[in-house]
Amino acid sequence: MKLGTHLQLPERSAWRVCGAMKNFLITLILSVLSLVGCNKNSTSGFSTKIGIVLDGSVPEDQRDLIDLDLSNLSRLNLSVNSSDLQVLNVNSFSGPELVSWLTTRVRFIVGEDFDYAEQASIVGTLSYRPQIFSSTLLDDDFLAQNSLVTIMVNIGSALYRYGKNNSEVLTLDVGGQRVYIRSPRVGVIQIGEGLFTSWSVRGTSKNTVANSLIRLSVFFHEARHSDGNGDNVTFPHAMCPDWHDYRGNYSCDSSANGPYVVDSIMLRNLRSACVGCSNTEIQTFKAFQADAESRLLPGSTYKDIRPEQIP
Amino acid sequence: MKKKKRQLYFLFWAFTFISFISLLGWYLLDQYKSKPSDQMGFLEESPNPVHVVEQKDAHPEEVRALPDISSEELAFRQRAQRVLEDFPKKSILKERGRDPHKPPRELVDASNELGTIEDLLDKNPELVKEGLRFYRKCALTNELLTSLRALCLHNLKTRATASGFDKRIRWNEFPDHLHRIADKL
Repeated sequence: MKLGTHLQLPERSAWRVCGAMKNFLITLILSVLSLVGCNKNSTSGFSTKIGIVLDGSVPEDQRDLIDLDLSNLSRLNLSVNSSDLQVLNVNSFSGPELVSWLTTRVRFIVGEDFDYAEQASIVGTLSYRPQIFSSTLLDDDFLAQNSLVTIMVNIGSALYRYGKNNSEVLTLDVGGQRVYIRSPRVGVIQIGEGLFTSWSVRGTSKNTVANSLIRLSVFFHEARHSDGNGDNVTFPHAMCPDWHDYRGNYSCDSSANGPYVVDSIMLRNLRSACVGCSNTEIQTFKAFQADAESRLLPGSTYKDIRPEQIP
Repeated sequence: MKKKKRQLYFLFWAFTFISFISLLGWYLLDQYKSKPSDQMGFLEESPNPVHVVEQKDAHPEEVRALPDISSEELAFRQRAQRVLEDFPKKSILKERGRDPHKPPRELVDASNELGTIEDLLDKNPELVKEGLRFYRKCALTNELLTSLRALCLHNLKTRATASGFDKRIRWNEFPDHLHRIADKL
């Protein structure tokens, strides 16, 4: 018996060990399965130095570059004219002020593979039927954009418009959080490889100062889409008229403080921070700015930037 | 006999007169060609553009032999001509698969070329007139992207002011909307 008892001991020990191993293996298998089961749109995320959360769907190389860009932003101190300050509604173009402006409007950055349709849920309906606007920000135009090389899209404001037009309250799982989309300021920005390739100065690496500053200007453009109310919620682009290069597309602005003007202002001022930049880099800044300026339609007016909110 | 002598006398003077007129005309034409431009519109194409086209593939020795243009100027003019031909036209924006919300990638390529042109002008101040000619032509070419034309006009203004040629350019030949964009840059 003792022997048996003795014999049993190792068995029990073995069982205990096996049990521990089994538990470990089960945990391991479940972990692996959960990892395999997770799609590439992982909802985990990490915070950048200035507090913007990068979703797990942002590739690591892009994450490093974005972190660099935002760090560069926080170190800026630019002297600008009063009309530029008025458009952005800030007191100065110091790093902290620009960071504050941006983080009010951009809270999450997601990668090109982030499937907003899968991560978004309808969690309620609005008790009222808001006016349906004619902008195509999320409709065919938005979907068409997504079939192209993504540079940057303000998904949060687009989903807000979608929810508003359909009298629905949406949530989005992003960066390990569930976000209620009750305002255009939800601040979810999708970036793509295009931001780092087609948007770069030719013959230069992605992490040069010039490329970093140019990318920041795109963030400021998209951040303006997180503003506005009523007819002008999300500052949608206007239809370009027949005489325009981009005729027939919603890629012009009738707002004197709209996204393309913000783009232009940032490109001009960020260019001044590009000390020691080459002629090619300067010309690229200016070309992008000229493109942005060319989209401002005659008779443009200042629009109210205050964001609306679903109660 | 006397009549024949008078005829010879007349022919002699007629020949002398015609020769004088021809020589004078040739001299004045030569003076006009070699005279430095100092009028409004001095950036316009040379009166004989074929001259330039004929020399497009000229041998370096032939280039040096040209009396009214240096080899550097000619090389710059040829480069500028090629750059202008390759610059993106408005028509590219109609192509499918483009995101109209962002500048076309061809604009980035054009910026690269403009950067090289600016480098050349920085290093060779004697090319300034050729540079101004190039920027003027670019800004006046309606088929090009408006953003690119505006950037050319901006560069024209910057270079003309720096070189003191700004008073001798017909600024009103450029459309107002180009001026508006160029002045914002």
